[in-house]
Amino acid sequence: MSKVERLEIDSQIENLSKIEAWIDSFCESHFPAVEFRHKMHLVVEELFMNSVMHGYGGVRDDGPIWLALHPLPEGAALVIEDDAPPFDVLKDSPVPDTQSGVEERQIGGLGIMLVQNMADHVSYDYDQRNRITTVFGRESPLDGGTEVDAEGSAGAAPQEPSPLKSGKSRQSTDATR
Amino acid sequence: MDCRASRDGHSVVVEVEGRIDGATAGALENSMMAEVKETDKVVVCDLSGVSYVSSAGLRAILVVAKRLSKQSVAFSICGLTGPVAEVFHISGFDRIFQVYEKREEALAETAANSGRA
Repeated sequence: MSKVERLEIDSQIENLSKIEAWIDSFCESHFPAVEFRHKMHLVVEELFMNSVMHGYGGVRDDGPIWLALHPLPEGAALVIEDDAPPFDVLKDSPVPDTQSGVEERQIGGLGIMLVQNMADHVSYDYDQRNRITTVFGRESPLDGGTEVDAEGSAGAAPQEPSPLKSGKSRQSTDATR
Repeated sequence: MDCRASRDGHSVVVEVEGRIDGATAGALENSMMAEVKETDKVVVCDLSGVSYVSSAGLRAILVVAKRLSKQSVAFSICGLTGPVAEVFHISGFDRIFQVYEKREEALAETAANSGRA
Protein backbone atom coordinates (compact mmCIF):
# COMPACT_ATOMS: atom_id res chain seq x y z
CA MET A 1 0.00 0.00 0.00
CA SER A 2 1.27 3.44 -0.88
CA LYS A 3 2.25 5.81 1.82
CA VAL A 4 0.29 8.65 3.35
CA GLU A 5 1.00 12.09 1.88
CA ARG A 6 1.08 14.98 4.33
CA LEU A 7 1.07 18.75 4.00
CA GLU A 8 1.24 21.31 6.80
CA ILE A 9 0.29 24.80 5.74
CA ASP A 10 -0.60 28.19 7.26
CA SER A 11 -4.13 29.56 7.22
CA GLN A 12 -3.72 31.92 4.24
CA ILE A 13 -6.06 31.93 1.27
CA GLU A 14 -3.02 32.30 -1.00
CA ASN A 15 -2.02 28.76 -0.01
CA LEU A 16 -5.02 27.32 -1.81
CA SER A 17 -3.07 26.88 -5.05
CA LYS A 18 -0.36 24.90 -3.21
CA ILE A 19 -3.02 22.59 -1.81
CA GLU A 20 -4.60 22.10 -5.24
CA ALA A 21 -1.18 21.24 -6.69
CA TRP A 22 -0.62 18.77 -3.85
CA ILE A 23 -3.97 17.09 -4.62
CA ASP A 24 -3.09 16.88 -8.32
CA SER A 25 0.25 15.33 -7.58
CA PHE A 26 -1.36 12.72 -5.33
CA CYS A 27 -4.06 11.95 -7.87
CA GLU A 28 -1.58 11.54 -10.70
CA SER A 29 0.34 8.87 -8.82
CA HIS A 30 -2.42 7.10 -6.88
CA PHE A 31 -5.83 7.93 -8.13
CA PRO A 32 -6.14 8.77 -11.79
CA ALA A 33 -9.95 8.92 -12.11
CA VAL A 34 -10.70 12.50 -13.15
CA GLU A 35 -14.15 12.34 -11.57
CA PHE A 36 -12.63 11.98 -8.12
CA ARG A 37 -10.04 14.65 -8.70
CA HIS A 38 -12.66 17.35 -9.13
CA LYS A 39 -14.48 16.19 -6.03
CA MET A 40 -11.29 16.21 -3.99
CA HIS A 41 -10.43 19.71 -5.19
CA LEU A 42 -13.81 21.00 -4.15
CA VAL A 43 -13.81 19.23 -0.79
CA VAL A 44 -10.29 20.30 0.16
CA GLU A 45 -11.01 23.91 -0.80
CA GLU A 46 -14.25 24.08 1.15
CA LEU A 47 -12.68 22.58 4.27
CA PHE A 48 -9.50 24.68 4.01
CA MET A 49 -11.49 27.90 3.48
CA ASN A 50 -13.70 26.94 6.39
CA SER A 51 -10.64 26.69 8.65
CA VAL A 52 -9.17 29.96 7.37
CA MET A 53 -12.36 32.04 7.41
CA HIS A 54 -14.25 30.53 10.35
CA GLY A 55 -11.90 28.37 12.41
CA TYR A 56 -9.14 30.98 12.50
CA GLY A 57 -11.67 33.77 11.97
CA GLY A 58 -10.17 35.20 8.78
CA VAL A 59 -7.71 37.20 10.90
CA ARG A 60 -4.97 34.79 11.81
CA ASP A 61 -2.70 34.02 8.86
CA ASP A 62 -0.35 31.62 10.65
CA GLY A 63 -2.88 29.15 12.03
CA PRO A 64 -1.58 25.66 11.29
CA ILE A 65 -3.63 23.40 9.03
CA TRP A 66 -2.62 19.78 8.66
CA LEU A 67 -3.66 17.83 5.59
CA ALA A 68 -3.19 14.14 4.90
CA LEU A 69 -4.13 11.94 1.97
CA HIS A 70 -4.43 8.23 2.69
CA PRO A 71 -4.56 5.90 -0.29
CA LEU A 72 -7.27 3.25 0.16
CA PRO A 73 -7.85 0.08 -1.84
CA GLU A 74 -10.66 1.70 -3.84
CA GLY A 75 -10.21 5.40 -3.29
CA ALA A 76 -8.62 7.78 -0.83
CA ALA A 77 -9.25 9.50 2.48
CA LEU A 78 -8.54 13.17 2.99
CA VAL A 79 -8.02 14.33 6.56
CA ILE A 80 -7.84 17.99 7.51
CA GLU A 81 -7.03 19.25 11.00
CA ASP A 82 -6.68 22.65 12.65
CA ASP A 83 -6.19 23.85 16.20
CA ALA A 84 -8.88 26.50 16.10
CA PRO A 85 -11.53 26.35 18.88
CA PRO A 86 -13.59 23.13 18.70
CA PHE A 87 -16.35 23.40 16.13
CA ASP A 88 -18.29 20.50 14.67
CA VAL A 89 -18.92 21.56 11.08
CA LEU A 90 -21.36 18.71 10.55
CA LYS A 91 -23.58 19.52 13.53
CA ASP A 92 -23.12 23.23 14.08
CA SER A 93 -22.91 24.76 10.59
CA PRO A 94 -25.95 26.76 9.50
CA VAL A 95 -28.47 24.81 7.47
CA PRO A 96 -27.95 25.98 3.89
CA ASP A 97 -30.66 27.91 2.15
CA THR A 98 -31.22 26.33 -1.25
CA GLN A 99 -34.69 27.70 -1.89
CA SER A 100 -34.90 31.48 -1.45
CA GLY A 101 -34.71 33.92 -4.32
CA VAL A 102 -31.80 36.21 -5.10
CA GLU A 103 -32.77 38.93 -2.62
CA GLU A 104 -33.21 36.75 0.45
CA ARG A 105 -30.70 34.04 -0.30
CA GLN A 106 -28.10 33.41 2.40
CA ILE A 107 -25.04 31.39 1.62
CA GLY A 108 -23.88 30.04 4.99
CA GLY A 109 -23.43 26.30 5.23
CA LEU A 110 -23.24 25.82 1.48
CA GLY A 111 -19.59 24.78 1.53
CA ILE A 112 -20.22 21.97 4.00
CA MET A 113 -23.25 20.84 2.01
CA LEU A 114 -21.06 20.59 -1.09
CA VAL A 115 -18.51 18.58 0.91
CA GLN A 116 -21.22 16.15 2.01
CA ASN A 117 -22.40 15.77 -1.57
CA MET A 118 -18.96 15.29 -3.09
CA ALA A 119 -17.38 12.94 -0.56
CA ASP A 120 -18.71 9.44 0.03
CA HIS A 121 -18.24 9.74 3.76
CA VAL A 122 -17.59 12.69 6.08
CA SER A 123 -16.91 12.61 9.80
CA TYR A 124 -15.78 15.07 12.45
CA ASP A 125 -13.99 14.48 15.69
CA TYR A 126 -12.03 16.55 18.16
CA ASP A 127 -8.94 15.47 20.03
CA GLN A 128 -6.85 18.57 20.67
CA ARG A 129 -7.46 19.45 17.03
CA ASN A 130 -10.58 19.74 14.91
CA ARG A 131 -10.36 16.83 12.53
CA ILE A 132 -12.55 16.22 9.48
CA THR A 133 -12.14 12.94 7.65
CA THR A 134 -13.56 12.57 4.16
CA VAL A 135 -13.54 9.40 2.08
CA PHE A 136 -13.72 9.14 -1.70
CA GLY A 137 -14.54 5.80 -3.24
CA ARG A 138 -16.41 2.69 -2.28
CA GLU A 139 -15.57 2.39 1.38
CA SER A 140 -19.05 2.67 2.79
CA PRO A 141 -21.61 -0.14 2.43
CA LEU A 142 -24.27 2.57 2.49
CA ASP A 143 -22.76 4.40 -0.42
CA GLY A 144 -25.26 4.30 -3.22
CA GLY A 145 -26.27 6.98 -5.70
CA THR A 146 -24.10 9.67 -7.16
CA GLU A 147 -26.12 12.62 -5.96
CA VAL A 148 -27.94 13.38 -2.74
CA ASP A 149 -29.58 16.65 -1.86
CA ALA A 150 -28.68 18.80 1.13
CA GLU A 151 -28.62 16.67 4.24
CA GLY A 152 -26.13 13.95 4.95
CA SER A 153 -28.22 11.63 7.03
CA ALA A 154 -26.67 10.14 10.12
CA GLY A 155 -25.93 6.48 9.72
CA ALA A 156 -23.61 3.72 10.69
CA ALA A 157 -20.00 4.72 10.23
CA PRO A 158 -17.94 2.65 7.86
CA GLN A 159 -14.62 1.36 8.94
CA GLU A 160 -12.37 4.21 10.04
CA PRO A 161 -10.03 5.03 7.15
CA SER A 162 -6.58 4.73 8.67
CA PRO A 163 -6.85 7.79 10.91
CA LEU A 164 -3.84 9.88 11.75
CA LYS A 165 -4.12 9.13 15.43
CA SER A 166 -6.05 6.47 17.25
CA GLY A 167 -6.51 8.48 20.47
CA LYS A 168 -9.85 8.77 22.17
CA SER A 169 -12.16 11.38 20.75
CA ARG A 170 -14.10 13.61 23.08
CA GLN A 171 -16.77 13.95 20.49
CA SER A 172 -17.43 12.55 17.10
CA THR A 173 -20.12 12.78 14.47
CA ASP A 174 -20.58 10.99 11.22
CA ALA A 175 -22.50 11.72 8.10
CA THR A 176 -22.80 8.94 5.60
CA ARG A 177 -24.75 8.96 2.42
CA MET B 1 -9.54 33.38 -13.56
CA ASP B 2 -10.09 35.84 -16.37
CA CYS B 3 -13.06 38.06 -16.99
CA ARG B 4 -13.96 40.16 -20.05
CA ALA B 5 -17.06 42.00 -21.13
CA SER B 6 -18.67 42.67 -24.48
CA ARG B 7 -21.37 45.26 -24.78
CA ASP B 8 -24.26 45.71 -27.18
CA GLY B 9 -26.41 48.71 -26.36
CA HIS B 10 -27.65 48.33 -22.80
CA SER B 11 -26.74 44.63 -22.65
CA VAL B 12 -23.46 43.28 -21.35
CA VAL B 13 -22.09 39.76 -21.57
CA VAL B 14 -19.41 39.03 -18.98
CA GLU B 15 -17.39 36.03 -20.06
CA VAL B 16 -15.48 34.28 -17.28
CA GLU B 17 -12.67 31.78 -17.81
CA GLY B 18 -10.73 29.50 -15.50
CA ARG B 19 -11.31 28.63 -11.85
CA ILE B 20 -13.62 30.54 -9.53
CA ASP B 21 -12.31 29.55 -6.11
CA GLY B 22 -11.63 31.14 -2.75
CA ALA B 23 -8.52 32.82 -4.10
CA THR B 24 -10.15 34.33 -7.22
CA ALA B 25 -13.78 34.94 -6.21
CA GLY B 26 -13.10 38.43 -4.84
CA ALA B 27 -11.47 39.49 -8.10
CA LEU B 28 -14.42 38.15 -10.08
CA GLU B 29 -16.86 40.13 -7.95
CA ASN B 30 -14.87 43.34 -8.49
CA SER B 31 -14.33 42.78 -12.22
CA MET B 32 -17.98 42.03 -12.85
CA MET B 33 -19.18 45.09 -10.97
CA ALA B 34 -16.61 47.24 -12.77
CA GLU B 35 -17.96 46.12 -16.15
CA VAL B 36 -21.55 47.12 -15.44
CA LYS B 37 -22.51 50.71 -16.21
CA GLU B 38 -25.37 52.61 -14.65
CA THR B 39 -27.29 52.59 -17.93
CA ASP B 40 -27.09 48.82 -18.38
CA LYS B 41 -30.36 46.91 -18.37
CA VAL B 42 -29.22 43.33 -19.02
CA VAL B 43 -26.22 41.40 -17.72
CA VAL B 44 -25.48 37.86 -18.88
CA CYS B 45 -22.72 35.95 -17.14
CA ASP B 46 -21.24 33.39 -19.55
CA LEU B 47 -19.54 30.60 -17.58
CA SER B 48 -18.80 28.28 -20.50
CA GLY B 49 -15.06 28.82 -19.99
CA VAL B 50 -15.20 28.02 -16.28
CA SER B 51 -13.92 24.60 -15.27
CA TYR B 52 -14.38 24.86 -11.51
CA VAL B 53 -16.52 26.76 -9.03
CA SER B 54 -16.64 26.46 -5.23
CA SER B 55 -18.99 27.99 -2.66
CA ALA B 56 -16.75 31.09 -2.62
CA GLY B 57 -17.44 31.50 -6.35
CA LEU B 58 -21.17 31.00 -5.84
CA ARG B 59 -21.08 33.63 -3.12
CA ALA B 60 -19.37 36.14 -5.45
CA ILE B 61 -21.96 35.55 -8.18
CA LEU B 62 -24.77 35.92 -5.65
CA VAL B 63 -23.33 39.20 -4.32
CA VAL B 64 -23.18 40.57 -7.87
CA ALA B 65 -26.72 39.36 -8.64
CA LYS B 66 -28.08 40.98 -5.47
CA ARG B 67 -26.51 44.32 -6.35
CA LEU B 68 -27.79 44.16 -9.92
CA SER B 69 -31.24 43.27 -8.66
CA LYS B 70 -31.22 46.42 -6.48
CA GLN B 71 -30.30 48.43 -9.58
CA SER B 72 -33.17 46.76 -11.51
CA VAL B 73 -30.75 45.14 -13.94
CA ALA B 74 -31.92 41.81 -15.37
CA PHE B 75 -29.33 39.11 -14.74
CA SER B 76 -28.90 35.63 -16.16
CA ILE B 77 -26.30 32.91 -16.51
CA CYS B 78 -25.37 30.70 -19.44
CA GLY B 79 -22.86 28.02 -20.40
CA LEU B 80 -22.81 25.80 -17.31
CA THR B 81 -20.93 22.59 -18.03
CA GLY B 82 -19.89 19.41 -16.22
CA PRO B 83 -18.76 19.92 -12.63
CA VAL B 84 -19.83 23.59 -12.63
CA ALA B 85 -23.39 22.63 -13.59
CA GLU B 86 -23.34 19.99 -10.85
CA VAL B 87 -22.30 22.52 -8.17
CA PHE B 88 -25.02 24.93 -9.35
CA HIS B 89 -27.57 22.15 -9.16
CA ILE B 90 -26.60 20.85 -5.70
CA SER B 91 -26.67 24.37 -4.25
CA GLY B 92 -29.97 25.28 -5.89
CA PHE B 93 -28.30 28.12 -7.79
CA ASP B 94 -29.72 26.82 -11.06
CA ARG B 95 -33.16 27.56 -9.64
CA ILE B 96 -32.67 31.09 -8.27
CA PHE B 97 -31.09 32.42 -11.46
CA GLN B 98 -32.35 32.36 -15.00
CA VAL B 99 -30.00 29.78 -16.50
CA TYR B 100 -29.68 29.22 -20.25
CA GLU B 101 -27.60 26.91 -22.35
CA LYS B 102 -26.55 29.38 -25.04
CA ARG B 103 -25.49 32.99 -24.81
CA GLU B 104 -27.79 34.19 -27.60
CA GLU B 105 -30.79 32.63 -25.91
CA ALA B 106 -29.79 34.17 -22.56
CA LEU B 107 -29.47 37.63 -24.11
CA ALA B 108 -32.79 37.45 -25.94
CA GLU B 109 -34.77 36.02 -23.01
CA THR B 110 -33.21 38.28 -20.41
CA ALA B 111 -33.84 41.37 -22.52
CA ALA B 112 -37.46 40.28 -22.98
CA ASN B 113 -37.86 39.75 -19.21
CA SER B 114 -36.25 43.11 -18.56
CA GLY B 115 -38.75 44.79 -20.87
CA ARG B 116 -41.63 43.22 -19.00
CA ALA B 117 -40.40 44.26 -15.55
